[in-house]
Amino acid sequence: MPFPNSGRGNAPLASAPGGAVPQTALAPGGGADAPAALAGRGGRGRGGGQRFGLVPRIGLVLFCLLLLSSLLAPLLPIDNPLQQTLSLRNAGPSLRHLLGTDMVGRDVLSRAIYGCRSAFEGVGVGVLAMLALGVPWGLAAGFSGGAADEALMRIADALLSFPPLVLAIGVVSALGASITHAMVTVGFISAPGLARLLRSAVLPLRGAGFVLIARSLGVSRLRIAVRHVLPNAMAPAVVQTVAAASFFLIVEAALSFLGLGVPPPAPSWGADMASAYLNFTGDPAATVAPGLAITIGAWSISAVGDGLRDVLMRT
Amino acid sequence: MGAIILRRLATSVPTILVSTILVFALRYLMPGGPVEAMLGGGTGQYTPAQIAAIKARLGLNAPVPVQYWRWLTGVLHGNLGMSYYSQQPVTTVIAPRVIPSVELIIGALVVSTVAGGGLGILAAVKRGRPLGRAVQLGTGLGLSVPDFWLAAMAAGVFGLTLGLFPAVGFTPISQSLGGNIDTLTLPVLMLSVVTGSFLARHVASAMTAALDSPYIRTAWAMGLPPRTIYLNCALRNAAAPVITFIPLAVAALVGGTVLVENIFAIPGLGTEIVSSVSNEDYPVVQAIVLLVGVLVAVLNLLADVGLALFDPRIRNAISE
Repeated sequence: MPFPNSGRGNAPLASAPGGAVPQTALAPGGGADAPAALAGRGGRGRGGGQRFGLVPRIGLVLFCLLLLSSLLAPLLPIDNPLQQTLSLRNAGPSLRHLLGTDMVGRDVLSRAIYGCRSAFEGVGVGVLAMLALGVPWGLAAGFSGGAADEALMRIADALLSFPPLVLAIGVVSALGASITHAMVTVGFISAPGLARLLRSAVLPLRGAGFVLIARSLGVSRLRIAVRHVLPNAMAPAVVQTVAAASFFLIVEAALSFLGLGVPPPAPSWGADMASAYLNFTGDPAATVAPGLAITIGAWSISAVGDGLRDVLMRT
Repeated sequence: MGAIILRRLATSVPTILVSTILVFALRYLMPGGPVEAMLGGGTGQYTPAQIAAIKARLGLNAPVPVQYWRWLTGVLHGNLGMSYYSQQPVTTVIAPRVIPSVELIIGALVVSTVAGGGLGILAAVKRGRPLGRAVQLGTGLGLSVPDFWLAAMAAGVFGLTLGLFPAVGFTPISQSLGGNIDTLTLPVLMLSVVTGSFLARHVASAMTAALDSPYIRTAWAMGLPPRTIYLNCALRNAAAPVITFIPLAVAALVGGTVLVENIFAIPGLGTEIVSSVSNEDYPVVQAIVLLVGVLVAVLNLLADVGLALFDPRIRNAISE
């Protein structure tokens, strides 16, 4: 399983160890996020450093292709993903079935394309849940400071490294197998990581000039936090959200693989792989196709996230 | 040093408490609550008197905080309840499951630290050159590959087709060490791909930061051999930020073991939790979730204490 709360490549931003160690203690890069939030935002125009590179562009194109094919799946010249042709079980690639058929004669390519839908649904649910909890959490902690900040961050620390997949299994066992329940859980348990990043970007803005001016003009604290501070502190949270989306895609597949997500007849990358892998030597395409789809999906999203990091955050 | 450990210990108590509250709260998520979960097929066929008797037996009439306290003291005494499925104490059910999972996690942690560390150093040293880019691209890909897919294919290719390793099953270490290693090789390697890539990324970025710092420039100017500069000067400073990511790696490995154990049919906590979900054996699921939460918290603690031992800057920051 990959890493929910870590923000992948951006090592210094991802987490400080426990509450006890001040972030600045991690000298090589550890304290870099606070100045970056100020310096990067204060100037004219975009504060970012590099351009959106080649690899992120490839990722963006792949991601758009996946998204388009999942939206336009009914219009594509492919078979119905549910239609079984029992005379054509475990068939190899042919013109009619480009990637062959699975163990009950369903078109492998068609199921991989339709599988995008449940994957993106799961990712969407997870991201919404994470934002709904994480953004208010981080904003409140960073903007209020003091005891509230301390309490909110302690709770975040406590949840930060809880394995999301295991908790999702726990919730599914209580509420019944449902990919929505599972992904809401995964989103919620990933929220502390987002909150932590947002908080450290908000914290240095509390005393910023534009906040003091807004306050002296009598703008309410809530409005200052949401309209003025949040847009200026969003960069690391955006990068983290995209990184989390890539992780959610894999978790959705993992849960379906374990039979705890999307129920069997519906096309789903994880569930399709689970039913095909025992017959791997007989019909490798049926196992390879959904796995490759997950890999391309997760990689494209995280490549976009890396590109956004280069653009939005000064390193 | 003792003071630092105590101070850090004090901060991990709330962490563990929050996980216990989380796990305790899970049972109230169930549509029918704990009673229905215990009765299985729904409460319809039972008379209100019977349900009340079960409620009384389970102590469900007490206020929720009191119930939590009773449950928590029970857990601290090693009483995790009875399995609904096997009618045995939960501790008896999960105790034999711990060792295979821990073996998997430790094995994968060692492999991914060594391989990930090496690749990360390589990526930082060869940064901007084809080899460095290849490593960055490879680790990026390694982070996106679902480990259960690799595991499934490895079981098929190396296990079934080539017959190099057993495709499924597990030999306990008490039975045969060689057999144990044989059955664990593929699962450990497959688990290490994602974690190794993750650590490689973090080692690379910490190494890059260290290699850009003035003391490294001085070291080059002094004419130290590259090997000394990379391994003795830069790596030592780069290691501190990386150690903080090891607990995250462990948390991710725990998720990965659930899948890999199910593919290779290893009788660990991962296979137990999945079969308990399908058996609706809620106490076992709850116990495993709790165990995992506490395990990760303890590893966090160890990593932070290790960090303080390792890096005097952090030691000073904590004791201030």
